[in-house]
Amino acid sequence: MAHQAHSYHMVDPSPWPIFGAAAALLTTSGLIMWFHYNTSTLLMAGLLSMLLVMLQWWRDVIRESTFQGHHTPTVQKGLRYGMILFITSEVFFFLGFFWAFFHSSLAPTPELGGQWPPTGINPLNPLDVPLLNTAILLASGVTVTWAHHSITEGNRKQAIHALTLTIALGLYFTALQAMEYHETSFSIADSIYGSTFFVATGFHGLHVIIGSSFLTVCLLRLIKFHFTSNHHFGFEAAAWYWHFVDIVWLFLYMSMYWWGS
Amino acid sequence: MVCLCTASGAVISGGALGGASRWFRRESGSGGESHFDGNCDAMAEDIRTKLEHYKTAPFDSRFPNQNQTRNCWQNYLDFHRCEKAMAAKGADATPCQWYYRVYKSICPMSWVTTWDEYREEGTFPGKI
Repeated sequence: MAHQAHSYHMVDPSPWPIFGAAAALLTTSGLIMWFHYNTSTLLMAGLLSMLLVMLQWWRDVIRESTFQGHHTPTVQKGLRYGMILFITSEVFFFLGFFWAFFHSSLAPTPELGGQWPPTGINPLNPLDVPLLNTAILLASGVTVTWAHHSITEGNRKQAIHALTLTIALGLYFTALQAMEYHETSFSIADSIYGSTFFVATGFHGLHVIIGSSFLTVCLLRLIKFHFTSNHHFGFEAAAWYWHFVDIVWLFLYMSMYWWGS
Repeated sequence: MVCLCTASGAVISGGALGGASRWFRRESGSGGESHFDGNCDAMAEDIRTKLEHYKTAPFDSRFPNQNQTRNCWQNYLDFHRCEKAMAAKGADATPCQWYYRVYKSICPMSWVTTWDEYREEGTFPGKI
């Protein structure tokens, strides 16, 4: 039977899933070795293998879709569901850290001096760099939407400009946030304040980096003519992820930076 | 708060020292409330009576739930703030004993010891 009688994609056998699982095992056990025994070999092996699996797996998805045409509208629908479900799971991930923050900050214990911010903590001024970072991410939300419209309208030059600007704004945010981390008078070890602040903003920063990387891949694909004005789900998925990252920042800003100071 | 006296009497001023007191009069000496009627000597007698009849910490509607940590903490703070304020004014610190009795009743001894040590060292995290 030469052709399929359905619109789904029956994927060819691939080693990446099992290698990805192995990479996850190496990474998690590597984290344990790093935390408890101060050796990072296993962790480095885990992260490296994770990176290689991601590159090769997603390269294969691009080959199957852009070059071999397996991504019918039905397949795309499934991918949309998948991305939405993934982002939903990430929302719950962050919800946990917000829960932890509110648990500790709404009823500060005597050890903290019964107040929030705790005694001795000098929080960052929310109207300083954090406000700039908010503006940067909001602007990047605008530019990514501009890029999307440019793609839909077939305007190649504007699409490239808008997406490049989005990525630049993302990198600017990351650089500023890194500088802020350097400048704080408190560290992650400074009471539950430090823990909640750096774990929540830290994971957010990681997601900004992930989002920026995803957008960069989209930019490269855009330049190489992978997208059509009707079919560019990779870009849409990246744009959704980017908006999610922006919204998480807004909540972080309002609760930890502003209310929490 | 009411009644700012310079003579020795129940001088309680400032928001933090409102404590467990009620604004209305109560008949029985349940040890729960003191009242402010603008008359310092009456108040002074009153607080002494309250202290004499003290049995244990009364219900404080600011802390209605099972976890009474904040109750202990607040009274510990209020006692030391009261002492500090009275000393600054050169007034009688007897009314402060109310907070002392309450925190002694409800705070775990180890907490009080630890907090006293922190105050000694200057590392007490609360605002006194």
